[in-house]
Amino acid sequence: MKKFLLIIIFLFLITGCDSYIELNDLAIINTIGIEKVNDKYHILISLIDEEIENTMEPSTTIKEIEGDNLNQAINDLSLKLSKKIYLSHLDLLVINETIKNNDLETIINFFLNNNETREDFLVVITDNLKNTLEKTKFKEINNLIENNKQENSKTIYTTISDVIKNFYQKENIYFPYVTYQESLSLDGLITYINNSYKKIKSDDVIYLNYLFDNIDTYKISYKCDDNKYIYLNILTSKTTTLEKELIITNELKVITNDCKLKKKDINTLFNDNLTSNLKKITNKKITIKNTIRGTYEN
Amino acid sequence: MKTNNIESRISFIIISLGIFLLNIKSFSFLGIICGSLLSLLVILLLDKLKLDKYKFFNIFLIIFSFLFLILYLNKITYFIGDNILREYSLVSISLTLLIAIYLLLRKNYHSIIKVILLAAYFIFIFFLIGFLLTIPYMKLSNVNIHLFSTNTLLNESLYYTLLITYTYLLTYRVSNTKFKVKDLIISFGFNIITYLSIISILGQVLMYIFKYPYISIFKKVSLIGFIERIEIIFSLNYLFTFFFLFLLAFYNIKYNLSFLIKKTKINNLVLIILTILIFLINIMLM
Repeated sequence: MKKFLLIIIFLFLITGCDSYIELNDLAIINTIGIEKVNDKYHILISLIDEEIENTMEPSTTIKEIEGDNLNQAINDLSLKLSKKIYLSHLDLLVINETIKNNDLETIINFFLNNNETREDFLVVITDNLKNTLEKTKFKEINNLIENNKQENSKTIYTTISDVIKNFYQKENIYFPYVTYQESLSLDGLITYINNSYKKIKSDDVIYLNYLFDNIDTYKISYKCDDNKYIYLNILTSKTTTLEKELIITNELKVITNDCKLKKKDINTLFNDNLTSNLKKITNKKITIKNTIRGTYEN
Repeated sequence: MKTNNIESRISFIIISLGIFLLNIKSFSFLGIICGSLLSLLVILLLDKLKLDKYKFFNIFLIIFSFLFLILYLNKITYFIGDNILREYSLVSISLTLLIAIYLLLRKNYHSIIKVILLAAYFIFIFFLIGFLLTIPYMKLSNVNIHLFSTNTLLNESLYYTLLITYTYLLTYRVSNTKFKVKDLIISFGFNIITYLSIISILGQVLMYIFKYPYISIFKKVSLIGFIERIEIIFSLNYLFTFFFLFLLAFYNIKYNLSFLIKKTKINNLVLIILTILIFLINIMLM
């Protein structure tokens, strides 16, 4: 009887709901934008609000904070909110070129020491932080990068764990570059190394993706005669990196072959173009093996 | 006469996995392999030698277990505070842990080992599920056996040997169980699979940077696109193995003390004093 009573008492005690918080009482942060203005961190935070009627999409509210210290600034956000800050659903981190070496380390440390956030959220660079965050809809940037990565391999999906890894290995960090003029657009990559940023054009990103064995699929066209083109779809690609050599295996599908080129010629055309572009970014010997489908010959 | 106590043998595999996970950042691939071979030699040698007869060995084990408890209780308290009970104070977490350990210590070794065996099924199933869930995120290019950690190969091997030998002393020697090489190979297999799965997902750099690499790998898992944030479930696996590790380390102190003062049963008061002492030192270290 004594044991039975103890079990009942413990059931009430150990299944406590004292730390329980209603969903409406959580300030769910979905995007954080960080820039440096006059040696101070200027932080823009996008909070998920209630659903907009008819659209079923959640609306977002932007809050702005400023501070010398990143941790302090995020903590000070609670002064502007009647809700508990919740970082578990953070999907996107937007920075701009005002973030230099020490600031990047501070940002990395903030996310490393924060147990609420996950290490797989997207990190992008933009020219105008406020404009981009205020005018873009929820998940719009994420979808833009994801779709471009899958459909044309013209970007790299950089997560915070990639940033951490490359920062500590002192390697290039590649950030997708998004701009907002009249609408949201993706404009290649920005690479960060040794405290400086450098732009990479969208078309060159494909060759960078070859180096990292990161090609999903893409389409390319070559002019073979006056107003005549050959249009190829690269279905799959695999890059094996050896010490002094890159071995690339592609599966190509010919979509348009106006010049009626033969399989051998298509192979040469594609290989020459790929090799010359890859030679600009690597010194390794390049070996390309292609499987071509849908040619005139077939 | 040594027995074939299956509970102790299973405990050895679980505890060695727990102790390995806690120190995973200290090892490289080659360090684990060399350490496993070295620990096999040391354990076989210890199994042949009758060191129990010597008082110095008991004193050494008491001191080592005591230091071990203090050092690792601090780590596990922070782990629970960081990942599971974020809203609670570290003092209340360490106190709850020590009270649970004290209450179990009042029982005999057989009861303790039965409790571990009950949790063993949970640990093994979760270990297997965890491994299967993380397979899609593994990249073989991240595995580089030539890279060493910050320690030298010799240091790594010796440290691994020390940890595994200590686990052997906690489980085999206390229960007077016959040592089987097979168990060490199984434990080595578990450790190496865990190491390879972590390093193939995170890579060498992230493994050293993240505070809890084993938990970080589950942060990547997303099942059918919507089942996410399962790391808390797997942190229970982590927690269970550590809890039993502490339990056996504390029991080792009790066992060696009884051996030293030639009493079959240690007074509860001694256990209470020890628990309070460890608790106070833990608070001072926080």
